[in-house]
Amino acid sequence: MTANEVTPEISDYEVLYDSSVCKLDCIETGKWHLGVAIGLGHITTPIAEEDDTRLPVIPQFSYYGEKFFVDNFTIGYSFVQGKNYSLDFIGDFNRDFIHFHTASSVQKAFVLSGGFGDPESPKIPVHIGDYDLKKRYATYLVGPSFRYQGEGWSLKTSYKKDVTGLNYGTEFNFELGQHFTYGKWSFQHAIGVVWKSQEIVNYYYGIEPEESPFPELAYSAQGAAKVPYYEFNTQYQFNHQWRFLISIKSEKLNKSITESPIVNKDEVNSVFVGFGYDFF
Amino acid sequence: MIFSSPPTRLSIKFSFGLLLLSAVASIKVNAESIENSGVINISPRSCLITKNHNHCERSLIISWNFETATDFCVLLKNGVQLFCEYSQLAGKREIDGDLRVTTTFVFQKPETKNYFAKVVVYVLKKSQPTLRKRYSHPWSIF
Repeated sequence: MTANEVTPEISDYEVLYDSSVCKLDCIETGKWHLGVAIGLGHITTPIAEEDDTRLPVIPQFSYYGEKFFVDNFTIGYSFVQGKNYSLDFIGDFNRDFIHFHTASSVQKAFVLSGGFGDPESPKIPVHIGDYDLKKRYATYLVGPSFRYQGEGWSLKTSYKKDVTGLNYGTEFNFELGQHFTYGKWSFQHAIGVVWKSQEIVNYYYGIEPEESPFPELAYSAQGAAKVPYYEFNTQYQFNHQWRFLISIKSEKLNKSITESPIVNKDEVNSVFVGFGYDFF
Repeated sequence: MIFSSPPTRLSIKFSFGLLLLSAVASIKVNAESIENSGVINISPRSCLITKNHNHCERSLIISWNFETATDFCVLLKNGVQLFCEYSQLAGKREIDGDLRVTTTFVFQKPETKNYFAKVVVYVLKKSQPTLRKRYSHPWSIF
């Protein structure tokens, strides 16, 4: 009695599902995900006489359906989803708002993922030097976005318009990112640029004559602003709930913003070092 | 891996956490097609892949009982040969391997290459969570 035997290999069988193809950048659909980051967070402000923002607690939440998603305060609908790309319609907050102390710490924590001002509240002047500034509110922008994810890199671009009616400005964002994992460590960094229309620049950094002690000290940006940035994120996953986090972002402001009398720095630096906890 | 030694036990081990449904496949061999008749069993007949796993992990036992001595080979449906037995009346073999999807085992006469039986082992999946790409990098604070 003889036999010719073959031990079957995995490849001999048809593979229908393999969770290993979808790692860090994938999320389970149909359920809410809630977490919190606790640690030392610091965002410098370019606004004269404004204090830097300190953020010890930053909430994180998301829900992804088949097409609809909420990722913190980014709300989106994916019209087309391919294996490596997605065409979405998204809404997100403009983040210049956090540089003004009219935003509370809680609002600033949320503005990293959103943030609201109350349009019905009285316009209490903010005193910067001799300027009496009106409140600058958070604005919400919506528009199309396209994402492409290659092997270890990604591209993201969006074109959004203000729908709150506060300035009707537009923002264009282009970002190129790279990510990889090493054991329990994961790393991601990206370079990008945000083009902010003249309307947005003027709403946050412009000075109306009535806000200025002298009309000739009013400021109106002559053009849009291009804000290039670099960001770096790393995390070490202890277990399903806990992870160690480092997030860094540096933004360079151009002269449309820096020439404003209320701006005295040409960059915004953000850093967070702490721990992340996933509740579910 | 090809062996040319006397068959002891060849095993397909289902290498995934599982809940096994210990059904037994049993078929009667068509007497007209192979000039003799008998019974071939594969046990278990199916397994259920549970959450966080993507394949079965379980030995599979193939047994046979023929009325007359029979030569046969066992192959996967895609043509990969697992083992052959010669002049067999009754016996069994255990095979190891990974099963991710429902798999068909076919029995072939080595001389004529004609198939005379097939047995399907069903791999069932508990509903897997659906994943999709997220918009933002997870825990990207800024």
